[in-house]
Amino acid sequence: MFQIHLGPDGEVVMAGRLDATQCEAALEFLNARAAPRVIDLAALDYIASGGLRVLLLTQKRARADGRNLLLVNVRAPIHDILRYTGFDRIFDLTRAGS
Amino acid sequence: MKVRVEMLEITSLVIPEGRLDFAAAAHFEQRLAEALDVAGASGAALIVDCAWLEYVSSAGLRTFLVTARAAERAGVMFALAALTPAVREVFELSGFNRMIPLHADRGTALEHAVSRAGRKARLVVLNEALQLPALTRFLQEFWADAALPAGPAQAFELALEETFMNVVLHGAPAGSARVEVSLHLSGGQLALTVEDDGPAFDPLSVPAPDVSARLEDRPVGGQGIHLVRRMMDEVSYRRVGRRNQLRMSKRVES
Repeated sequence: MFQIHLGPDGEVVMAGRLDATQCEAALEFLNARAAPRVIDLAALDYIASGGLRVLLLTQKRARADGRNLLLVNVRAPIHDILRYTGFDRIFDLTRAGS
Repeated sequence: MKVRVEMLEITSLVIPEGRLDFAAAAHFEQRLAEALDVAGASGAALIVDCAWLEYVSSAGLRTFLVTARAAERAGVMFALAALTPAVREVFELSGFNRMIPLHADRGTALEHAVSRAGRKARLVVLNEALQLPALTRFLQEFWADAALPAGPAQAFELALEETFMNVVLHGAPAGSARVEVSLHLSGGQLALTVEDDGPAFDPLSVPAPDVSARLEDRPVGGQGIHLVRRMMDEVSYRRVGRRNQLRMSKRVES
């Protein structure tokens, strides 16, 4: 189960499991509007390389608009995956509980 | 004589009822051979529950010996359970009790089989992306049945997704081939094997991406197998006949 929607301050909220079967829907949602400034991952339980690609494409779009994407509330298991791929250096991020 | 065959946990269970004499032996041996095939493919053990077995002749005894040898060749544990005193005596007099383990009851035999052979499960799906949720469910159910700690679950879910999607995206045309996924838990170590009959491809031969590259230089793919290597203790590839076999393992409990 994966959900993506806009939060009260215009941030994108992702929740559940962003596996390979959900990436197309996530990209469709993101590409239908200007690249977000913030994606809240507090309720994201799972991500793999397909999901990382969604984040990467969104970051590239934000940069093209002269902005930088911020990932907030990144939980430890998700942070591990960002770290193993070096994505923690590509994104500005804040970790859950900080 | 009547013979029932059931699957229980990782075990093929054969339940003969009545008299195993010369007339019944050929049929019984055939049923044992079929049950052994099933055990070899998806389970780890073949157990004969002898609680309703009233009599065994020498021809009947021979069927157990034939099966014990076939089980040894197939790497399947073979044992008998719940023998009546009369039948047990036949095994003891013939010395067969030294070649085939005899357990007091079915529960003891099952427990022995699970702890000795470990836990196994296997699922075969078509090579199409929409099978991924079924694979994830298969892994999660195995996790729950084996009461494994939650910590390493994500590493295996990720490894399964990455390797399966690799086969889907880069193997045979979608929906035209089968992918076999198996799990084997033994001694605290869990092994995940993903096999497909697509063209030979060793994903481990793809160079690791530069994790320090700047965003502009980052390719949008190629992260998957690198992540898998990072999260598993061991990853190996073999071409077995016409199949690609990728085996990943990691310690999941102490």
